Amino acid sequence: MIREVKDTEQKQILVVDDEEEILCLLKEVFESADYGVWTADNAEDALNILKTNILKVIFLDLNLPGMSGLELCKKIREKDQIAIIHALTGYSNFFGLLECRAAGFDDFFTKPVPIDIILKAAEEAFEKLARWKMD
Amino acid sequence: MDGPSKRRQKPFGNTLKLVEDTLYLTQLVMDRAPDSIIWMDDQGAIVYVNDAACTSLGYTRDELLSMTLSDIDPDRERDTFENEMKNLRRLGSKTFDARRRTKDGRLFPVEITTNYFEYKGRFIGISFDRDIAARKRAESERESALEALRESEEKYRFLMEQMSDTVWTLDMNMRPTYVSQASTDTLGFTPEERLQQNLSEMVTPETYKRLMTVLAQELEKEQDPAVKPNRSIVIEMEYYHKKGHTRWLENRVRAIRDTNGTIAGLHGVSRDITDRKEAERDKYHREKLQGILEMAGTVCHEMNQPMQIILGLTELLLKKTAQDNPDYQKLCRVKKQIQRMNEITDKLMSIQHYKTEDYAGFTQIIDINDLHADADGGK
Repeated sequence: MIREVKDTEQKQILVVDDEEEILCLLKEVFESADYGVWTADNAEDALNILKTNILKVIFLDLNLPGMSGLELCKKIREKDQIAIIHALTGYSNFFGLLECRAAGFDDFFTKPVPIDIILKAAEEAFEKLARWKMD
Repeated sequence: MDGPSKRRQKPFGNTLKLVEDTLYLTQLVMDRAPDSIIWMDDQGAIVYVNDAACTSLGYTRDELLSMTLSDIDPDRERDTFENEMKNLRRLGSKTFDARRRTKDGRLFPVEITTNYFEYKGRFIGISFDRDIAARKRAESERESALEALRESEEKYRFLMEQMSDTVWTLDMNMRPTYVSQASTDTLGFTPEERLQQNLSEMVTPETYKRLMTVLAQELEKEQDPAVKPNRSIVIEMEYYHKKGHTRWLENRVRAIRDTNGTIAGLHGVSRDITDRKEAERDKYHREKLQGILEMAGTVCHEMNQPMQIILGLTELLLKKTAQDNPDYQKLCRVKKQIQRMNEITDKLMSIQHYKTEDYAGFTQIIDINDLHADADGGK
């Protein structure tokens, strides 16, 4: 079920990365654009957040301790085929891209990513969600 | 009693007795002769047989004297006998191989010498039969043995010609004394061409030097009684092909020794392992590339994480800094350096092949500006 987001309601983003500095940075970047930000430094915490919150725009690091970003994406996709999930990775190649697409990621970024591009990705994701709800 | 010498001087009493004794002895000699003797008349009727003829044919003397030659000779027809007798008269004597048939039907080979005489106008043909079954058997066995040997030789030659490995022998001057046909297929040189060469011309200088070292070590081991004289060594050698390129052959080499046990030469079998060597080299380079890719992945991951933080923070600061602020340009320079570092990690992430370059004259490093070189990449 897709929760309707009212214009007045703050748009929420989930960021998952095992590096605290990255989480702080992205939180600051998204908050600077008036997004509400949820952060988790591992897959299990991320799944717990998603159990109690409806978050449709997600940024996942691939290299997480324990359950990897790929596995986490698959888990999220089991219950949510609408969410727009972005991969953020320190290293990848063409085969990594294929793996990500197969796991259910919508987009794929290799660090370092300029903040304008990150913000644009978030903005476009919310635009898509808004358009889908219109349909 | 007369002694032997006295009997030799005067064996017989008077002339008549002498004739009687001579006839008796002649009869006795014929009767007891080891070969069969058969007399026949011009119709082929048997008129005399000796003991050996009776024994070998299995008939009694009386039985044989009532028979004709065709009864004991399976290859002789009664109607051709007359012609044969005419021939015998013309030739006088004749020797040939034939067969005899015994009373129980068994056939055995004989060598027959025939002769004839005429006595009181009557033709008498004489046949001396020698049983040659044992000789024939021996001949047959010898022929079989020869045939087996011929077959064995043919098999050996076939194997030598068909086998892809080259068999060779060398004297102690490193000159070939034998090279099998496979040499032509492997290295282009015929065995005849090979026999005109010295080993030093056949292999690369590095291989020859290594071979000489190995041989010197092996010769030194000869002093040690614990070392087996029939030991073999396996050595990989790089040979020149007739067309100029080289091929790798694995040689299993053993010493040829004279009767005193001294090494008189070497013999060996060479197998072309060029394809295997190339596969090994490719595998080595694939594994090396795999290692480089993994290392590149680690470097990218470890570098990109802090670069993300630095880039992100720099861009946040730039957003908050007025362009006329002196710090703005400094932040731009920081961002530019991060982008430069990012270009390096981007290159590392796109490695498919690699090429090394000399670094400061003391080591080799990967040339990150030539990561897509494929012709010599990684070699």
